[in-house]
Amino acid sequence: MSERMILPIGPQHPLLKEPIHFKFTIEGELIVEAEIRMGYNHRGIEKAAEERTYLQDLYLTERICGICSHVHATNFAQATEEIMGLQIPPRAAYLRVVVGELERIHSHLLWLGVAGHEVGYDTLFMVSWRDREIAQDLLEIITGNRVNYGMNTLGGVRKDLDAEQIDQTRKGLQELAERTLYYGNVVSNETTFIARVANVGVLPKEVAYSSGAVGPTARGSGLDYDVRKHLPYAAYGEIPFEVVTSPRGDVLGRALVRVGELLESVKIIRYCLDHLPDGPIAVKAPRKVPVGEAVSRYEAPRGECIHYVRSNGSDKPSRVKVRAPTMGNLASIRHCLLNQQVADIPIILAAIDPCFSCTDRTVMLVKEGTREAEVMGWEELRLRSIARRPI
Amino acid sequence: MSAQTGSWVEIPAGEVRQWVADFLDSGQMRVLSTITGYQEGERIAIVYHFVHKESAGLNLRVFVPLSAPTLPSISPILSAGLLYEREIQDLLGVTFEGILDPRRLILPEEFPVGVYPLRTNYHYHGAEEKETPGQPGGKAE
Repeated sequence: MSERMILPIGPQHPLLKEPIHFKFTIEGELIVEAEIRMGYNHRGIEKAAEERTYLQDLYLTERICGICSHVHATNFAQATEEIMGLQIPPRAAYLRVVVGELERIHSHLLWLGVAGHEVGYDTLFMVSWRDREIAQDLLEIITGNRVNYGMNTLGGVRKDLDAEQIDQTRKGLQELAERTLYYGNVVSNETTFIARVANVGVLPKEVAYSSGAVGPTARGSGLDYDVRKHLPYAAYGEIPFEVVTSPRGDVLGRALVRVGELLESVKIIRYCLDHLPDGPIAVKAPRKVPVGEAVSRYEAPRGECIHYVRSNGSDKPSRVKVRAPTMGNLASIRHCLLNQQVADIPIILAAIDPCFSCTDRTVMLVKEGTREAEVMGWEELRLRSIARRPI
Repeated sequence: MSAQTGSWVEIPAGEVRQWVADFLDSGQMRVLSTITGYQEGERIAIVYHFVHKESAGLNLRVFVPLSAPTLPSISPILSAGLLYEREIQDLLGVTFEGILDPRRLILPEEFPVGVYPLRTNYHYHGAEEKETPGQPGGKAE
C-alpha cells in the first residue's frame, strides 16, 4: 500500500468557474476519500426574500442562478400562485414551457462544451458553444434578454409571441435539431470521448436513490424520476414527450441522457408552437397573499428544483426555502469519486453539471489585516453596486 | 392543493426516524427533495419534503421547542438527508442527534457560534459607517 496524501483543491481553482473546496485523500493516483466544503457563494437570498414583497422576490429568485434563472422564477411564481389560488391562462403555461425548454437546450449545450473541455476535446467545446448561441438568440428574440429573462410575473407571463417570432423560433429549432443529431453521434461513437467517460464515475442505481440524486445524474443511473412527467406543472401534462434514461450509471450515461433530452426539448417546443392556445397571457394577481403554504417543483436542466413558500397573510412571505438540484446531487458525488483516478476528477465533477451559486445562497469577508469577520448586508452591497469609484 | 405540494403529515419529533424508516421499507418513496426549517414563535418546524411513488408530494412536519431544538437525525438511514440537516443546523441551530457528520456546511468557520441567521430575532443592521476615503458614505479624498 502506498502512502496516503491529502490533495486540496479550491475554493478557487481552474476546474470549475465557481468556488467550492474539495479535500481528496489519495493513494498514488487513486482517490480513497473525498470531502466537500461549500458556502463560498452563500448570499443569504432566503433571508433577503423574507424582507421583500412577493413581486420583488420573483426578480430576486430569478437571480439565484444565471443559467437556470427561468427555473427559479417559475418555481417561485408557481408556489405563490398556488397560495393565491390563481390559475394562469393556458397560453401563459405554454409560453413558460417554451422559455423553459430553450433554457434547457442552452444549459445542456453549455454542459456538453464543458464536458468536452474537461476531457481535452476542445473542438467539441467550441462547436457546442457556437450552436448554443442559436438558443441564446432565440431567448433574446422571445424575452429580450440572454439571461435573467424576466419572462414571468405572478399570474402568467409578461411577453407574448407574435407570428414572426414563432417563425424565427422554428428556423432556429430546425438548426438545433440537426446539430443535436450530430452531437448524439459524437457522444455515442467518438472513440476518444468514450475512452475518457465510459466506466468513469460510476453511480449505481441504489446509491443514486439513497443519496437523493435528481435530474440527468439520476436518470443516467436508471432512475426515471422527471418532474415534468410525474408531477406535471405549467403545460407539461398535455405535451407528449419521453423521459430519457440510461442504465449505464457512468459519465457516458449522463452524457447520453443530456443529448437525448436536447432532442426531446426541440420536440416539446415544436409541439407548444403548433398548439399554442389563444387568449390572455396573464391574470391580475392580488398584492396581498392569503395565509398558506405551497411547495413547487420544477425539472431544471440539472434536476428537480424545489421552492417552499409560506405566507402569513401580509405582502411579504414569512419563509422561502430553495433547494437547487446541485445540492441534491452533491451527496452522490462522493461515491462517484471514490476509487477513481486523480486525472478523472474534473470530468466526474463536471458530470453532475454542478452549479454552486444556486446551491449556496451572506457574503462574508475577513477584514483586511485582521481575522475579524465582516458581514456585508444588502444596503452595502447596493451602495457598492452604484459606487462610481473603485472601493 | 396541487399534486406538487401534495399531502401533509404531522408527527411528534421523536418519532421521525422510525416514520422515515417505515416509509423507506414500504418502497413508496421516490425521492427526499429537501428538508425545510422555519421558526414559528417559540418553536421551530422541520418539514421533510418527499415525493411519493403515487406521484404526489408528501410533506412530513415535526415541531421542536426553541428552548431545546433537538430531534433524531435521519442521515444514518437515508444519506440524502445529511446535507439538508447540516444546512438547518447552521442556519437555525437545530441539533440532529446521531447525525453522521456534524460539521458546518454553509457558514464560515469565523462566523460567531450561537448565531443563527434564519431565526426571526436575527436582523442585519448594516456595517459600521467607515470614514475611510473612497468608502461609500466616507469623506472625499
